[in-house]
Amino acid sequence: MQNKHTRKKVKYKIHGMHCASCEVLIERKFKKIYGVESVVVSQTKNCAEIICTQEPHISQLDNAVKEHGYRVYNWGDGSTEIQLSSKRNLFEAGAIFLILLGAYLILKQFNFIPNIGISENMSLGVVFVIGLIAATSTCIAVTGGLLLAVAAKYNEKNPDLTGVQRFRPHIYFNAGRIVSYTVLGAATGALGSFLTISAKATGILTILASIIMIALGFQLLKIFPGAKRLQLKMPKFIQHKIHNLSSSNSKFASFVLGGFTFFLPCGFTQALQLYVLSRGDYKTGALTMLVFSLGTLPALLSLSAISSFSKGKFQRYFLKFSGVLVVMLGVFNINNGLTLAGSNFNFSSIFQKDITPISQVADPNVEIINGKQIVKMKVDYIDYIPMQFTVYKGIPVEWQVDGRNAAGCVQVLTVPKLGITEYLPKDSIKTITFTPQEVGEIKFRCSMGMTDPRAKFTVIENPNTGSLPIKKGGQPEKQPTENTPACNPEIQNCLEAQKVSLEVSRERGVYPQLLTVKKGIPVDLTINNKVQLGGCMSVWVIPKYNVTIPMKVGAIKTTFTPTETGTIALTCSMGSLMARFSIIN
Amino acid sequence: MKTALTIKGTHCNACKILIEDVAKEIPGVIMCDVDYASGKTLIEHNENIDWKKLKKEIENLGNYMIETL
Repeated sequence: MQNKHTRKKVKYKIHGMHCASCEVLIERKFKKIYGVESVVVSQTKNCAEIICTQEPHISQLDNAVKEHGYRVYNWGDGSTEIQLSSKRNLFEAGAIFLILLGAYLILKQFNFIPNIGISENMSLGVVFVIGLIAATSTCIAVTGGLLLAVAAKYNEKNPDLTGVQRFRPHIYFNAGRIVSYTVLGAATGALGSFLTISAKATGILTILASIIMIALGFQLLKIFPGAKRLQLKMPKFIQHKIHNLSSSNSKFASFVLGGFTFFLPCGFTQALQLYVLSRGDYKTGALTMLVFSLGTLPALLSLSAISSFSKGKFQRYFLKFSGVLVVMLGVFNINNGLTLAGSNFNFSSIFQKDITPISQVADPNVEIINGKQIVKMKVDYIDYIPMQFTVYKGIPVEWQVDGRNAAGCVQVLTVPKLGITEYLPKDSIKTITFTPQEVGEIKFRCSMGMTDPRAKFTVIENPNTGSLPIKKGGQPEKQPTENTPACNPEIQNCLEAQKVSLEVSRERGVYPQLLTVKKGIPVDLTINNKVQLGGCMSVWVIPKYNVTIPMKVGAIKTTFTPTETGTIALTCSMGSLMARFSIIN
Repeated sequence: MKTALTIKGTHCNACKILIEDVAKEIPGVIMCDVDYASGKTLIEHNENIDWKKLKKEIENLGNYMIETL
């Protein structure tokens, strides 16, 4: 037992380890080397600790594992090596970050990215990309292994299968996966709605999902060795259960197993499940999870291709790229989560030190300028982009609507709660001004209610009521611009308005069809409406002069001043001709 | 003689090498080949093979599960 005194503990750097099997493998190889008594290898620390009676030469160790793709370095040398490579890692990650940020800003400029991140309006495209990344990185380990096991089993039991038949278990498995993701996604969403999660809880869930994503991103980047430990592992007994189930080879088992992957501990899936839960809507849930599972499909269907390509340089950069992307998405989301959770902290405030507190709006789409909340919205075909805004109570909202691409009935924007009905001109941006007076929701839609029912303003309490810098004390709210400037007889010669009237009835339709009026003189139009009108007919428009006429039953009055001779149209909100004005000199 | 098994839980080359190494140390095993992607394993062995030991040793390595066919 004198040996004890001569025992030495030596530490080495090991490069190339990626899983627990690597640890065991290296331990076993080292133990066979003369003089080595015990070995502890840690994949997370990238090191091996050897207790030996005689220190082996580094080349002995290296040779023992070199053929399997691992390299051994002295602890000192290795660590500088590691530092170098982690510096390089950081550099590459930084470069990719800049590229992505640049791409994002450019795309944003062109409005290609209406919404990014797990926000309330996370676009399905982003979900699909997350699916793609997930399948080629973390999920392939959990789901891929299972799928291969199922397929191998199936093919073993049926050795005389053709290529197509061999592919069958893959199809069952993936079909099961997609069906279960959709159904369980819907269930998760429904659960969320059943729980009626408060905005705060939604925020917290979003933050949680974001943290998982950021951790996964760092894991992909391998910048922080510590991030490796963040991955959730499934309890072994469940793993055994699932593997046992895969022993039965029926189609049904393949299908069911595919379905079960919803519960496998893939970080991306979990992040999305949290997101769906927070949305509390079964439709969103189903759709999100469906798109996600479709995103994972290409990788899962071409497993062998993936595992062979996963060795090359391409994968290295692909993983880096994905890692940065995922971290960025995570940061975006945390931001959203913080807003929802009611915190005034905003990531963008880190970069804008000199902003006044009132500029810290809860919604990045709302700017506060000169005491007004400027909201910009684009209308593309029948979509409002963005379609949800958060504004503060008591501060005037200047709503700039770009309706140049609006289609049909969407050319008329109505805000029922505020009694606003506006025609969106084809050639300019419409500005609508209002001041939200109470906390709650203000929904808006097109005249026919065909637009997304989620489109709304969320009015929240102004956190800095005391220090509101509304200048000049008064209400700076602008009166909505009138189409006809009011005539003041004291300072000018008023032209007497031309009075014309239309009748809308079941018997005669719109009568008369043609009205003749003079140029330059205000027209008082009275529509005598005897019919309950719905759909696009509920709002009539004179596009030329941006006049909107909500068609209630009874006499409806409106005024406009024709400025040019010619013929102009009175249409329904979708543009069908109702009557014409002939304007003469 | 040769026996085919399926080992579940193999996912990389390290798994393959590890299992093959361990298997070859079991008395009676002459040759072992693992396909980590499918988990299909072919073992060449004589009558003295200790299946119980083989199963125990491999499953002790970690996340592997053997099913005998």
